[in-house]
Amino acid sequence: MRSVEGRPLEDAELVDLARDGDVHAYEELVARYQAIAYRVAWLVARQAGEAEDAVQEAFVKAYYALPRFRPGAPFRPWLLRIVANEARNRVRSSRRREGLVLRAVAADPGGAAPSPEAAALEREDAQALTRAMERLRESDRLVIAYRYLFELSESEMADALGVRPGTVKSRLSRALGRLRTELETSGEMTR
Amino acid sequence: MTERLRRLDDDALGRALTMTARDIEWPAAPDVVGEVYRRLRDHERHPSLARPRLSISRRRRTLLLVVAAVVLLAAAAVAAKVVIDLGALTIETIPGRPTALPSPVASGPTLGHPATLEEAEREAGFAAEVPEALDAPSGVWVDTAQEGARILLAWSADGVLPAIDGLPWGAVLYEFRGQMEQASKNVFMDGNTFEDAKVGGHDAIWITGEHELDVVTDEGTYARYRVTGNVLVWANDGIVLRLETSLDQAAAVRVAESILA
Repeated sequence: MRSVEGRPLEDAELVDLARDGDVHAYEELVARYQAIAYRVAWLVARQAGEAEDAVQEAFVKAYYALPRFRPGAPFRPWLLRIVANEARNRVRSSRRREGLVLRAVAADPGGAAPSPEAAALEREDAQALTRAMERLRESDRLVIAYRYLFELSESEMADALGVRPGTVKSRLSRALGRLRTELETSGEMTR
Repeated sequence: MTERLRRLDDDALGRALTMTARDIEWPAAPDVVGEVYRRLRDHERHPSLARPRLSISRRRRTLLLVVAAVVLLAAAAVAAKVVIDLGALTIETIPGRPTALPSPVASGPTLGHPATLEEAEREAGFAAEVPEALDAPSGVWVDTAQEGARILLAWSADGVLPAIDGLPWGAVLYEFRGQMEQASKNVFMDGNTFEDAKVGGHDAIWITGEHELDVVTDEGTYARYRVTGNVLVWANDGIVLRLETSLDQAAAVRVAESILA
């Protein structure tokens, strides 16, 4: 990781260097954001191979688009917008879509673990929410993921979704409404 | 269980989702640093392979390069793909012939919903371009489901506007606004013609022969349509326009230029 006086370079500094043709500076941006980029691509494509291809292509496209990147704007949401769009381009086949997987419950030796009943309740909630998320249309799934899974700010969400900041809240609220509908469907299916 | 979740207000449901996020076991992210670096270096060594997203001012030069590339590739029968990226619409040349020829455009679920012209413009947030050479459109559809907006206008076939093969329409005009890709054309090097053209001084592309149009659906997937008419594609003031008719190029350009009149 290159640095100035011991501190890692900020995104904006790396972007400036990359814009001037410093591929190594861009490599650092790729390393910094490849994990979240992959998760976003996977949420759109729901297929590991398509997600990986989308991430690679998005990073290459983003590099060549840097001259038009607005100076001072946050890099991460701009990149995620390109990633999501690239992943969308690849969702053309009828390949089986993969589902969200929850970690196996681990024993907590710290003593702060919830009771078995509470843990089971949380687990059921988490499973119901992930199943409902999977059934949402991609645009709703992404707006919910940006806010609650990746914890983007509203301003970052607006950039990542390519919408006006004033519309983020309403989009999120509508997506949550449709999530409730999916939860209802899920409840009927498991009755 | 789900009943309790459904009764949560937005804030509480959001907190439950944030809690859930900590339990998600994401697929392991591949390390793409090396591959991206290699591709960027390859592009530096072979600049012709680079295909950055295009700015309006560079499109003319690129279109000419693309047309030249298509001719060369066709002549050499090389299996390679060329891409033109107009933002909301991309065009890809593909060796061979279409393998799937499903339903024709203007008859599927990706049209959006029917509307009056005024309703469509209000919903899409931009003024539709309507050729003065044609009467009022016979049908109007609007779709704002994806991060952009599109309006589709269709004119019934009549004596001066022959029907497009397989369609009741004589002309179909798709208008896309936004930088997010909303549609992609697959143009085949075997059986299609593909050349540059002009619409009122704007660069345009003229395509003939059966090809495919993939339109992004509400779910973010693609619906594939068969295109049987002749197609003129150009961009005007941030909107990408795609006119399909059975007219020849000169007549189609006249229709398109009547928008600018």
